[in-house]
Amino acid sequence: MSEQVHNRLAMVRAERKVSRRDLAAAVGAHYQTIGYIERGEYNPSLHMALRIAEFFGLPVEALFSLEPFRPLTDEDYRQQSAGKGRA
Amino acid sequence: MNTTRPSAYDQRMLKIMNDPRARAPIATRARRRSLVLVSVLLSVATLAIFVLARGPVLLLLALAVLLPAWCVVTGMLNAATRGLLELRARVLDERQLAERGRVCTLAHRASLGLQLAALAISGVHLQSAANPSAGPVVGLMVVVLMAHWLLPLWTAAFTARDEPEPDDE
Repeated sequence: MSEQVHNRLAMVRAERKVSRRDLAAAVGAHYQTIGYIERGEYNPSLHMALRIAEFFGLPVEALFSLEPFRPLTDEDYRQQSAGKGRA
Repeated sequence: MNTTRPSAYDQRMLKIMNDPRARAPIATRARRRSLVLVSVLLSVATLAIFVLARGPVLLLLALAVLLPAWCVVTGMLNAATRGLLELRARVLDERQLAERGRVCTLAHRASLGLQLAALAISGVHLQSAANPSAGPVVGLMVVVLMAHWLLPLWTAAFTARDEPEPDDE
């Protein structure tokens, strides 16, 4: 059974301009641990995942998922297309 | 990291073990594994010199070379693991604690194998030698003791993954 947890932590972190060190300090982790999570080489505990989500003010499922995330451009385009369709 | 507040000593050790200036010589897996090999050879040489040295002066001279080299290499291995086995648990996070548990388990198994081998060799020696002496058995015990002490560090450095590229160091 695969235990891979997908995440888009690197993208959100870059978008918010938060360094690994700042995020690590905020959630009580080593900054390299953030790097391992981003590379998909370490799955954080539920506690750490919730703390990371809380730090960004996002629901945990916006950052971590059992299924691969779709590219955000796809999601934006779909929403825009749906909006135009309704109009 | 757990909730116990790190002491000044913890903070100082954490800083030393995460010193970015020490990263270059241990940045790749090949370098770390070579360093583990050097550490094993230096450890064996340091023990062997007690048997091989002819006289106390030669022993002291050999130790004056080997011990500082051994200390430097051990320090580099500790830096390679970012103090995984040297730092107190209260300054390690959940990934590091899990990693420490993993390498200690692996090292414990290897150490058990060495102890069983040493026991078998000692048994054969004591059974088969015409005049069995305690010397070789004691020597073997010292080797096993040193391996038991250093195997976690060797395992940690040998199996350490390459770290993510720094984004803000």
